[in-house]
Amino acid sequence: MALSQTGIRRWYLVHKWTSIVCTAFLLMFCITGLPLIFHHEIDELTRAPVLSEQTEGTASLDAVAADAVGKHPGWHNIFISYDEEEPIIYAAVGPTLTAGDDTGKLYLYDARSGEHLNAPPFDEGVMAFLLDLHAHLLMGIPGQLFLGVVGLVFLVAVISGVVVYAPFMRRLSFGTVRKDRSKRVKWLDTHNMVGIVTLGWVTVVGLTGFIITMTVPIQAIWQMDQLAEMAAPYKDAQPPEKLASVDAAVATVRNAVPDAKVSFVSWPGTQFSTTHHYMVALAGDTPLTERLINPAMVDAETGELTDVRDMPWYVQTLFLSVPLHFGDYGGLPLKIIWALLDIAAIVVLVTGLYLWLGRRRVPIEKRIAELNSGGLAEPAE
Amino acid sequence: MKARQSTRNNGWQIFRWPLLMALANAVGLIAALVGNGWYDLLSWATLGLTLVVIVAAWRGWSAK
Repeated sequence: MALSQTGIRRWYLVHKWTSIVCTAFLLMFCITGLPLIFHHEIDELTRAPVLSEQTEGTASLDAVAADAVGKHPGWHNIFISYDEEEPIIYAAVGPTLTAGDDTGKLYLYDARSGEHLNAPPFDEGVMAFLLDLHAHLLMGIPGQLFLGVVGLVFLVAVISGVVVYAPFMRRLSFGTVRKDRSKRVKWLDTHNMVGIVTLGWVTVVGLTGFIITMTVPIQAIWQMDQLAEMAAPYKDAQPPEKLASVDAAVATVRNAVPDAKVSFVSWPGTQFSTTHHYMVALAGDTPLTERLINPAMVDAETGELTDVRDMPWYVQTLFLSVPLHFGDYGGLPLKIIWALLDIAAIVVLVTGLYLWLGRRRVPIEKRIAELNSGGLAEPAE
Repeated sequence: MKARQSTRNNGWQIFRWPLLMALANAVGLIAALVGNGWYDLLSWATLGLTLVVIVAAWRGWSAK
């Protein structure tokens, strides 16, 4: 367990430099992440469409899809999805089948009456900006991949922090915060105590954040792997000229898999389906299985169900990373705990910054002595 | 000074509490995924424990 002096020195330097590299980004993550934890609640207050009083009825997906695409002559339907909690259907349309949210449009419909809901667009407003900053650094996919690298550097900072925690705590009890000594000792103890206590949560949020930045590569692998396999029998077929009814396709899937919940339908030729299928996404009904979406493929020409698969492990890992990163899977109390843990992480970042800025010109030997003595041998100016 | 001990802690003594905390975190993170109701309650309790320990330690509590 005991590290040699050179070992401690090396790990200390790793902790210092990896932390310096990613602290600014992590502060951005933590600060923008704080309101994003309550994204759904804030959306409901600011965007929530006034849902009509009516409670009966089931909207026709065919009608919703036709209405959405009818707003833009020449455009295509991309997908339709159901809101997890509210009776709302989202219909995405775009100038091409593979259009993203930058060029396409998302319309909201009442899932009971099928009426179009006049809601502000999703890509505008403060929350959309915060999410774009948090997830893409406002720079699209390159920004997202860059933040993935920041996430990896952060995980190294966490690991090295745990390693240098050991020599520091050799003569201290867990949880010690000495306030009767210098200010520096107080913040050093606070940094170590809050850092080690939140280790589990911070590691999971950091790791799942990194996995989410890999969304584009993971999707590309799925397209080349499972999706290509399901498309293979149609290799020489012409794309369907007239599409079968979406309502009928969903009904067919519901008959075949009665206990699953339909959460999403993707049109043929989009990035979530083959050129010949509707992809009907099926979810279970526990917090775990409702995230593990599985694809049911319906021939878009004949309306027949051709395949129901389990997503491969790497896509399921991505699906499970989303709730574990956002903390939106255990009610409002969990979100509040998530927010408080986020603030604890900010405390670790700010105290770390203070410790570094406060004694920048001190030789490393004195800093190592400080570490080894549990903060008592203070580095002098 | 009470905080500073005369004997040196070994690795197990240093890391047993952090391991316990990480375990509580893991239980809390997984519980709310597995189910609702009691599972959510277990999740709030174990993750909330992290916050309780932070506040207690800041106010002067330490192990032993």
